[in-house]
Amino acid sequence: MNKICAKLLSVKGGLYIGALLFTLLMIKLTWFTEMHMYDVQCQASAFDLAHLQEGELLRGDMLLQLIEQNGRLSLAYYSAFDEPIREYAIFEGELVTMHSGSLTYDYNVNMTDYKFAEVSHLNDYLLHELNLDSLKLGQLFPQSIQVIEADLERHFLVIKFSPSNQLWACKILP
Amino acid sequence: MQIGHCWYDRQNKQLIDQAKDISWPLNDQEYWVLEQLVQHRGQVVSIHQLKSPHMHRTTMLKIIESLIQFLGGGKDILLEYIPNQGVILYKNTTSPHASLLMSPRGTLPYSHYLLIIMLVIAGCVYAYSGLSTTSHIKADYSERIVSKQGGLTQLLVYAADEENYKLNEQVNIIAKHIKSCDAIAWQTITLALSRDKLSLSIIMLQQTEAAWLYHNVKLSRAYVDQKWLSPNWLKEVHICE
Repeated sequence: MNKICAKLLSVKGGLYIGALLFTLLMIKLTWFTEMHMYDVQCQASAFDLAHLQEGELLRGDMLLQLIEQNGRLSLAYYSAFDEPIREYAIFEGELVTMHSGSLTYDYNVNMTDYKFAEVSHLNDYLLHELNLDSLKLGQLFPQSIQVIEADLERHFLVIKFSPSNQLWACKILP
Repeated sequence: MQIGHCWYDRQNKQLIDQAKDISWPLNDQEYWVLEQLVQHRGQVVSIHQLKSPHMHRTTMLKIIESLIQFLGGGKDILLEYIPNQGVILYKNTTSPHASLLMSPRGTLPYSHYLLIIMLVIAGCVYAYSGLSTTSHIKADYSERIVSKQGGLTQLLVYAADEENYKLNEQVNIIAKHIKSCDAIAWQTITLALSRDKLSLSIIMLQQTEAAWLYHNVKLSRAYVDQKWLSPNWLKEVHICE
């Protein structure tokens, strides 16, 4: 017993203990650090200059709900421009990588459901936001979401979509 | 016979420290103990074996301690007492098994120093990348805007690509319009132009003690030069008060 204690207290033993603790810390950080994206809801006033009505820009409201469960992302967009037309588009995604330093989440996303009007403002907006030429059901595309501002105490988050460079200020859902 | 830096004069029963020029005339008990060690040099000699007839254990231990002091005195060990086992007189000097608790000032080999430094650097790098609770990613462009009433607002811009010179031109136009506000209710106004330059995200932020007040504005254009900025629009989206 004394021999074991003496060995542990030696400089070499101290180094081994340090290396062991360091390894355990790395394992803990790698496997148990929370990696999931925050569930958020975001609202926006939207203005569409692409579809002017009698020279006037078109006003509407947009809602984005982002929920992640076990690495699966659910992205739901709702918009209301012309009464009584309501549009929506639902996307699902799989988390590919999480860059913890830059708080960027890389997903592979595809559209699973939608309802667009004949002249769709939401469809046009999503082409900008998701950096796509067209939207099709089941079409898989990469999408990164970066947390650029976070205040968890006040349930507040700002996210940036990449590569489109679109921002949303959001409320973190409980 | 040479033992470390000492000369062991068996005939005259004395130990001479040649470096310090000190001699230690050994009594019979001390001579007995040293003789046993010299005869079994390089081996552990048991306490029992070291004890001469009629020698008390504590006396023997004191003799060992004196010999250690006389032969040692430096960081190298020549004579070592191993508890519950015995005493060994090494053939050559050996480095002590430094203990972290017993010698906090003990020197470390360079390889250990190197290992510790590498572990610390690796830990710092990992902690920075993994633990960083980066709650704010710096904007690509920022400008302070003073409203007509003297209020201060930070204008932040996130760029989609490296074309910052073009971005600055657009930002200057927007900043010029915002500067014309009588009053601005927000601490920060953040802009981001989409990669295709047709969609603009605007976020207005005001931090209070209890919560963040914020407002998102999304603007889609048909073509890049399409004009939309006006004092009325800035009031409509609550940028200007």
